[in-house]
Amino acid sequence: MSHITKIDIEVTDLTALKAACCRLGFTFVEGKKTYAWFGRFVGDAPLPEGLSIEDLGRCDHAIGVPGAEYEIGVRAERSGFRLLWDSYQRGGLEQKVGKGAGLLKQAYGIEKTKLEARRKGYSVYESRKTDGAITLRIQLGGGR
Amino acid sequence: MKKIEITFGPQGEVTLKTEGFAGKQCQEASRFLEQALGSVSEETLTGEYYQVQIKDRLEQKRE
Repeated sequence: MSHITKIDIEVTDLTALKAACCRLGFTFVEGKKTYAWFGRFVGDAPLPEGLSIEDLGRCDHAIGVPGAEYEIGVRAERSGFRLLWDSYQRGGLEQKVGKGAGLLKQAYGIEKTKLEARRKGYSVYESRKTDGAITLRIQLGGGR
Repeated sequence: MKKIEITFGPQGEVTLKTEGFAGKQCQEASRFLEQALGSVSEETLTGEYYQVQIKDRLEQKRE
């Protein structure tokens, strides 16, 4: 092993996000300007950084999650896309996408990595671990 | 064999490891993925990285 890095995922690629939705059985609705949520800010959680109350419920695309009443909003920003969702239990999202939408971020990371690796002509092998983690092995060929 | 291994946790956490590279090559080889996925929050250089650096220096001295 030569080096190990930890990476914070940032969503910048809609193609990879759509592939992630497909992988999870979610529906990506391109151009949908609102996403379903409780509908009224009650202050039980802090506002997402840089957003106002009026921004809640508004987006550029939306993601529908089977079995969840609420949706995930995809908001275009200068450096990429921000995912917005209401974690209120009644909406059913957290049970389906995990805390902090972790399962969607996981799927996005996998699809984005596959796209980038294949663009360079590398082979990618996927394996699932028992704890829910998924590993991608990318072979770049050649020895030292 | 040069390899990059990336593990995606169910809470969105990502760990990238490289294997089989000489010295700084590992960082250059994985940069395209690190940049594509987001931002690096932590980087650790491992024994193999330093071993190759030492070997390179010894070879340079001999030349």
